[in-house]
Amino acid sequence: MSRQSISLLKNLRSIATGSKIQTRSVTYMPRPGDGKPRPVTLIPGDGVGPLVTNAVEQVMEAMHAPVYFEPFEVHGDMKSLPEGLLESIKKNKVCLKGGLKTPVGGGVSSLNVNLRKELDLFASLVNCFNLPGLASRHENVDIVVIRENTEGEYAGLEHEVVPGVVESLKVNTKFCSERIAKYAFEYAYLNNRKKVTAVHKANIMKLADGLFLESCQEVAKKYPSIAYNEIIVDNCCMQLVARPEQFDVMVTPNLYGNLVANTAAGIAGGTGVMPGGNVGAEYAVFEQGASAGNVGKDTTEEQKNANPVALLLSSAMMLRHLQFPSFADRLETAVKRVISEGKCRTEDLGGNSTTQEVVDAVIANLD
Amino acid sequence: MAAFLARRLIGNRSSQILGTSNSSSGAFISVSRAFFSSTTPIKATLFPGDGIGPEIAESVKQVFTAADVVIDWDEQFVGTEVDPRTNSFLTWENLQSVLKNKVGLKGPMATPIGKGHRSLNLTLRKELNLYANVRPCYSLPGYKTRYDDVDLITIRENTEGEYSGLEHQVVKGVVESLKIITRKASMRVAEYAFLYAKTHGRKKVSAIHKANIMQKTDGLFLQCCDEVAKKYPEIYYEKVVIDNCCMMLVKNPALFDVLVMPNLYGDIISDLCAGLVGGLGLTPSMNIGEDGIALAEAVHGSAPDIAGKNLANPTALLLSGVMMLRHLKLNKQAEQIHSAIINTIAEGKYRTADLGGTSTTTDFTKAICDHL
Repeated sequence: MSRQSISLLKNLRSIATGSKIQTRSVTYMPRPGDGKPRPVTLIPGDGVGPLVTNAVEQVMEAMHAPVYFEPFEVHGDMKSLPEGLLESIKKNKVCLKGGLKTPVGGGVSSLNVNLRKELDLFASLVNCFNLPGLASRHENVDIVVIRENTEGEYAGLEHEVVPGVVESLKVNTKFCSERIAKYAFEYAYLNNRKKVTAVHKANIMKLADGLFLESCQEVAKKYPSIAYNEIIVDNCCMQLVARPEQFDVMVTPNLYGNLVANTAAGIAGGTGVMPGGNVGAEYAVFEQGASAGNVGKDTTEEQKNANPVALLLSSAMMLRHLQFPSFADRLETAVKRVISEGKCRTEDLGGNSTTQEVVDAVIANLD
Repeated sequence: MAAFLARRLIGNRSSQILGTSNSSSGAFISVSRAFFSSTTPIKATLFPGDGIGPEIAESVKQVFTAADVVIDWDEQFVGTEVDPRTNSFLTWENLQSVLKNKVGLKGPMATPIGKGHRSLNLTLRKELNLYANVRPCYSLPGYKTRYDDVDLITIRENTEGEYSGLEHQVVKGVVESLKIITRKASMRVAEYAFLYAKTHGRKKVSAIHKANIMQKTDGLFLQCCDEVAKKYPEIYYEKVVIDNCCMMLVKNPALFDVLVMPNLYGDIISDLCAGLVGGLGLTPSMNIGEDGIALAEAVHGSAPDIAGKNLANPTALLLSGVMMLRHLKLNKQAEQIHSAIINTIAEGKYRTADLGGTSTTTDFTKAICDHL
């Protein structure tokens, strides 16, 4: 009886003094042998890619996280993905990736897009939220943009009809629209999200986006506890700029998803800090959330002040995906602490630290 | 002297009729118009539109009269049944009026729901060959939004691209939609964009694209912009990928000046920019067609719930009217009216309900006239 009252008093005291004792306990029960290090394919990429993936490697080392990386050299100007890369990802099921530079207007198709198609990573996810301590013009932003990743405008089917007239095919199928809608609602259900908004332009592209909307509407019926609404893409962008707090989970076809994700990332703090990744039925590739193909400016690469926060937060998502939640929590807490303190920030957030300084600060803040 | 000028005027018109026109012929027409503006009233078509349209059109007429702008308004109303010659509610007379007058101002039109006829906006676009949509977005001093330093112009290709309307179902569950980009349309809009930048003293033109993914289509658009850019070496030209552009716009809109883009991106970006400055109720817009046709319009809806109650905000239509005046080279009066509008809103005493005030349309209009 006295033992109970002592612990009760301790709790009351901690509540009264408002102390920040982390009383969260991880109730996850691992199976024996889950602590064995898991291999993860690593693609450093081009431009600032190697810089930020190296940042992740350092932090994982410091935490002694049970992951080890199998790096592969891939560059954006290669004609196709190198040998062994796909086998490695298929074996490991998980990959961490920096950006691959795509030559503009050249004959080479984007390797970023190729990788997604080969592995059938049909959903791209970006979580855009306000980081405490990072000033931005909009508050209360917490949007997850789920974007169809394989078809639509990015089908890559273009041809010149006659000289001076070019056609590009936008292909929408029921199969792909259905699976992305299902993923979006499932995500909302598993993550306790209250609303899913479908973004479209069906008043103009009646058949293509109409098909997408039909699929969303059908899936919405199966989740009556999740609110569902639709919004036209131009109105959506206007609303994002004016009142972003009205959005929760957004499901979009390929091109609009790109624009909406970048807009949402911009209003919440910038693409340098938003985590995200691509997921399919069997594999997952984690990378910087929005603008993932971005390899940074040449000056950023030279001065080595690329922002590693986005990739660090994405690797936390990866750790959760691999079922190592306590490591993920530690990493996220450390990163958020560094950002909220405000002393160590890279150029895109208004500071002047280098990537290495931010990494050192994160490692110092790990508990 | 007058005869010489008249001959030049007719000479220009005749070259146009013979079909050797290009976009700069519009400038000739406007110059000759300005010469005669003090003696001959300019004829312009006015579509009051539906809902709040007639009230705000009335507002525009009052302000223009108070500013001594001599315009002979040719009011046109949309028909109540489908005109077989145009296959829409827009009658043949409506279209002929715009083709004859070369300038027009259009209020919001509600497209009647139903099948078997074309939408009103689509009819106007196709019949008048309106190839560029120009939307200046600037922060209104005195009306505070989260963004205070916006001053940019979006120029959007208006005829092709993703909005060609060519879709079909290949097999059940698979739909294809065609995006068409042609050299002709891209060159047209690129030429207009650079001409606009030059005549309005703008220093930078950014072409927005996604050519890293859509290499041939957006690649062709970029090629055309590149070619036109070479002819204007004094204007700084850059190419920005659309996702970067969205991000930069919401973080720092001051980075952009004139933006030129294909149809879909233009639609999204121009609405995004309108959102930055306060919404569609404050945004002017103008559509440019071949042969110097210019149709200024208010892009907001017809707001049937406040129609007839004297509550509507005429700012969008007024600012569009100002754009029309600038196109007609009546810059002095355009500037006068523009300053009057800005000052009235900045003062804050007379504001309509959507800006957070309590004035009626007529009060707001009167305040602007007083400021002239």
